[in-house]
Amino acid sequence: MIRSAACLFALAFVSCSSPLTRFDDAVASASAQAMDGVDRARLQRSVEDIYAARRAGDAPASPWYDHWPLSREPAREWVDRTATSLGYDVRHERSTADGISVENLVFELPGREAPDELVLVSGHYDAWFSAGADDNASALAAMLDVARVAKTLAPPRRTIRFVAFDYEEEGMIGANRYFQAHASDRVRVLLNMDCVGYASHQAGSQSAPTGFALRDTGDFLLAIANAPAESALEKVVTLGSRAAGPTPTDVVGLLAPGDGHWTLTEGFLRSDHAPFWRAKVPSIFFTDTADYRNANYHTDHDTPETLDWDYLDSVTRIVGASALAFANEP
Amino acid sequence: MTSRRVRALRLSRIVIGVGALLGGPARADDARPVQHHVGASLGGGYFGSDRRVAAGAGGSLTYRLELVEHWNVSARIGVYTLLGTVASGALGGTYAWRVSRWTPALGVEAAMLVGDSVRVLDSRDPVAVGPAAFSVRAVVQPLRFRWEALTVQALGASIGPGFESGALAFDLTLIGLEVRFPP
Repeated sequence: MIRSAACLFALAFVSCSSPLTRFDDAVASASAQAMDGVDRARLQRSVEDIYAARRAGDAPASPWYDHWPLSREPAREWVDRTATSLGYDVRHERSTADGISVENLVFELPGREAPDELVLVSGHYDAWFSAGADDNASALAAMLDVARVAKTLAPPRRTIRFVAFDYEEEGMIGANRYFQAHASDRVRVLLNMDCVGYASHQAGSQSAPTGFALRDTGDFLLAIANAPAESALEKVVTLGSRAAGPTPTDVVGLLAPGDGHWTLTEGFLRSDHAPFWRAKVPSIFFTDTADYRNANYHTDHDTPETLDWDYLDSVTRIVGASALAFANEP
Repeated sequence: MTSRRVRALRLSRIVIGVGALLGGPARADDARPVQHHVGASLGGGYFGSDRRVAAGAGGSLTYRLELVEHWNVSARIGVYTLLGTVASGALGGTYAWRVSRWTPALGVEAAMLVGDSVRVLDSRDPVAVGPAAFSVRAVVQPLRFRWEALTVQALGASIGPGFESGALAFDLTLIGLEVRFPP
């Protein structure tokens, strides 16, 4: 308060700035180091496996979006099989309402000190056109590799819960159902990933919504957060460069005011974090910015060959280290 | 002639001289008392930089002092909403020409903005963004008209750089109304 007042009355035309909130140093170091276990080759193989399964599987036409084919089952089976093979007990949370049957997959690493306090790591598994390497096989691969690494470590203080959401592409139906069923959960922070595998090192490859200034080279990870996640976002941004691994990837954070009801920030709610964000749950949305960078977004050309595996490796490390640090910080 | 009258005469000559230099109509009765105007306007504002974006539509209240026939100083406070809620304040001065009732004006203002914005945090330069943003802007009021105690303006703008990296700030006034007091 006093700082804010001081800033306001500081010398005219001098904007006040201060260091960002950081994770406890020991927690940050341990979390970043733990993510050295992330396996770039495995990430690539995971995306390719999901893609291949989708191509071989069924994709019923969407009743809403011009009858686009939406693939769900193959990726759901891949998540179920992979998480089970890592030793997780996968819950299939099924619900039917308004004629729509939804199946979210939930598995977790129980916390040893505060098991009721949750760090959520999420991504959706449905994809248009039986493709969706970036959208969203990349996030599933990252989430499962974080789950694999986390399983090898000592149990975290808080529970890390992984959720693969159904029907994101049809309007975050899976996430909404999950949120309704778990409204009373104590969520410390939600880390949602959607499109996290595409990068370009060409100048001019990055665009942004009108009025927003982002760097013009599309090689950074964007983390969009709501106001309750302000300090969480600051911690992720400062952890980012430490955790990125062999390929440095910058984290650019956008901190939006309020609960997302403002007209110009509605665009920030384009993924499964939306119901959490609206309910003021601290939420961070990790993305490569999708169609603001990737011309293959929501097309049949969203294939594994178009992804940048070094970038996906970095993103996995950053999100994984963040999840561990939130779960273990004092 | 009293010394007060002498001073008034000298002042009026100065005003006439300045008016002549600036191309305005120069009359001895230009040396009239300072006039006060209060008003309200509707419009929008934007402040964008590498560190934040604030934007919105709303309204503002203005207090303007008309020092002499052409010169004005004004203070403005406003509230905008669309991307959160933002309060803005500006202090500035304008020079207004007078062509019958048409009184277009040009000027400069220093503006400050406080409130909600989308803030940008960057791992390359991890510093928090302060609550206030500052800018200096050129003021353009092309459609400004005056009837006795009433001044109306439409489609006015102020635009200029902000005191942050890559900053651009502008305000747009769709419609504004000012009343002289006492009338």
